[in-house]
Amino acid sequence: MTEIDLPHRIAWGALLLVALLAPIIVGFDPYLTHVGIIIAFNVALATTLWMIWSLGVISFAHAGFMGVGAYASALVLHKLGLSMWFGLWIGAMVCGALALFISLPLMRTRAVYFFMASWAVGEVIKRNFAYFKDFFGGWDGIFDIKPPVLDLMFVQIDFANRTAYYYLALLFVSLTVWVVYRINSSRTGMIYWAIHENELLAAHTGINVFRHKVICFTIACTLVGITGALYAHYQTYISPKSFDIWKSEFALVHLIVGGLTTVGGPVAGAISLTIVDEVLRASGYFRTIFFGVVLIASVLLLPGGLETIPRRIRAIFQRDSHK
Amino acid sequence: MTEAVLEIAGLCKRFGALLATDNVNLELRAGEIHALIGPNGAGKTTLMQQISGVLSTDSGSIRFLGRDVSNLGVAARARLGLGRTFQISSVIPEFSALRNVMLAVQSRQGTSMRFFSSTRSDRSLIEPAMENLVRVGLADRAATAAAEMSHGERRRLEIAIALALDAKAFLLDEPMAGLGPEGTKALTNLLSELRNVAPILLVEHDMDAVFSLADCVSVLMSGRVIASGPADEIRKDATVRTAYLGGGA
Ligand SMILES: Nc1ncnc2c1ncn2[C@@H]1O[C@H](COP(=O)(O)OP(=O)(O)OP(=O)(O)O)[C@@H](O)[C@H]1O
Ligand SMILES: [Mg+2]
Repeated sequence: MTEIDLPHRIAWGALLLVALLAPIIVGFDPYLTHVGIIIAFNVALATTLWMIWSLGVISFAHAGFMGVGAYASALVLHKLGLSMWFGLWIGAMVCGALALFISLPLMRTRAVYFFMASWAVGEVIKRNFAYFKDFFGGWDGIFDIKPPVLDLMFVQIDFANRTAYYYLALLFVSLTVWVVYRINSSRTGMIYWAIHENELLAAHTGINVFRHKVICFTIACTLVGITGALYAHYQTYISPKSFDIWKSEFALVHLIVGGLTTVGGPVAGAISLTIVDEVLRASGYFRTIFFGVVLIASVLLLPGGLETIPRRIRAIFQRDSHK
Repeated sequence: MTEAVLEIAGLCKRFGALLATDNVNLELRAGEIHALIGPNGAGKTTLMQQISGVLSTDSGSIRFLGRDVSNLGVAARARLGLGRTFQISSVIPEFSALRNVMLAVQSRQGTSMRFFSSTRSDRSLIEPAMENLVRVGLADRAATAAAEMSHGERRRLEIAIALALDAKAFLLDEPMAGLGPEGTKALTNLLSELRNVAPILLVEHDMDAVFSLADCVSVLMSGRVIASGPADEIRKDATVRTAYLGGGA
């Protein structure tokens, strides 16, 4: 274990501990538990978006793919009568297959063209949900998406219970963050960052750039598809509007405020901004304006995002110790 | 005569009305340094890019290790062992020197078995990378970001990357450019050792370096090879002198 590793591990451990104890800390308050669940979804959305960012692009289709997972799982329940335990994985597979198919042309585009193309993909996904009224329920969406029940012989856990759902969401978001973190610190992650910095140089070191882009995009979309399924069975209602461009844009804001170079960035950004958003909810009409002010202030006052805070603190201590 | 590692026949590249390379024939044999000289705009970089696969080729063929690579992409040619440096420095500035080389090492080894394990403690990656940094004399700069290295150090780093890729031929485009006399001397020594690892196709304007290193020299002018042969013959060649006087180099 290197010197840098230890504080990191302590920070992640502390975060997980707080997350595990959170429902007890808030005295099982239903509203605060709900906020916790929303935080989990937003962390998963931002972290998987960050995985795509490690290639050097931002996908505005990301919320759309979350929607694919959500709709797939909801339809598995309604048309096939299978619970979320099946819908979750089917949703992930549908999402992965679609992402693989779409990324073949999408990943041939670069920079601003990727940005526009992904935007179009996100919009087309949403419009399809709206257009095929009989199948997807049109703009009205799909209602009555039941949460699952876990039957463990002796005990039954009904995930209609909020606290139970919180822990389910926590489990999946932790797995998602862990997978993204591990990939990012592996050889594969090194390749992604090389592509991020310079595609041609990456190719000159023998890296098959296109293949890696396709795989990365597919993995990230598969993971967000799982998040989408969890979202659907929690809200019990989804509509095309739940997964529009705005949702992708908020995830992007989470990345910018949190920081773009480590997985801590999207996690910190999604947690803090979801809380800010809930605090501002009371202000009604002015919420969006306040949100904008918070965004601009954080970019101006904390360039590099929340992830730079540990480094800043360390720098202060080192300066003091040199005195 | 030893067999050719790299064989170029009838290579052409057209940019609109301009023939940047015009029916170029060239051979790079094992153990030799083959210098490619010529005035600015002669088509040297274009030729190097055609060989490495950055530029497509209009006609002609490129054979590498007995295999036609004309239709392969950049990455596939790199994996076969065509190692190159750019005219403009070609390392990832945000990566440390070590990480730049590690990227090349993993490209040789593949990711398959280690899709999920951390690179920071991966000795099978760090050790070979470190070895190659030692070979080019950059061991003490391993942790430095490439962006913070000097120009000469970055050129060495490029060579370490090519070594890590297990290059079967080096394509070096003006490695001496921008180096001071000392840097040029040090790099000249490094290149003369490197030739034992793999042959070098060397584009260079520094004539002292060219004639102290090269076994063979080809002179390119307006896309055409106007002379080619052993270094000392080319040095005496009258047409080459006129070409150079005309080119103003
Ligand atoms: N992408 C391109 N599009 C159009 N013309 C190009 C392109 N690349 C190079 N050229 C032209 O082709 C000719 C050969 O250029 P090249 O860069 O190969 O010369 P060079 O021999 O490497 O010169 P130098 O010694 O200055 O590096 C030049 O006239 C150049 O302007
Ligand atoms: Mg050139």
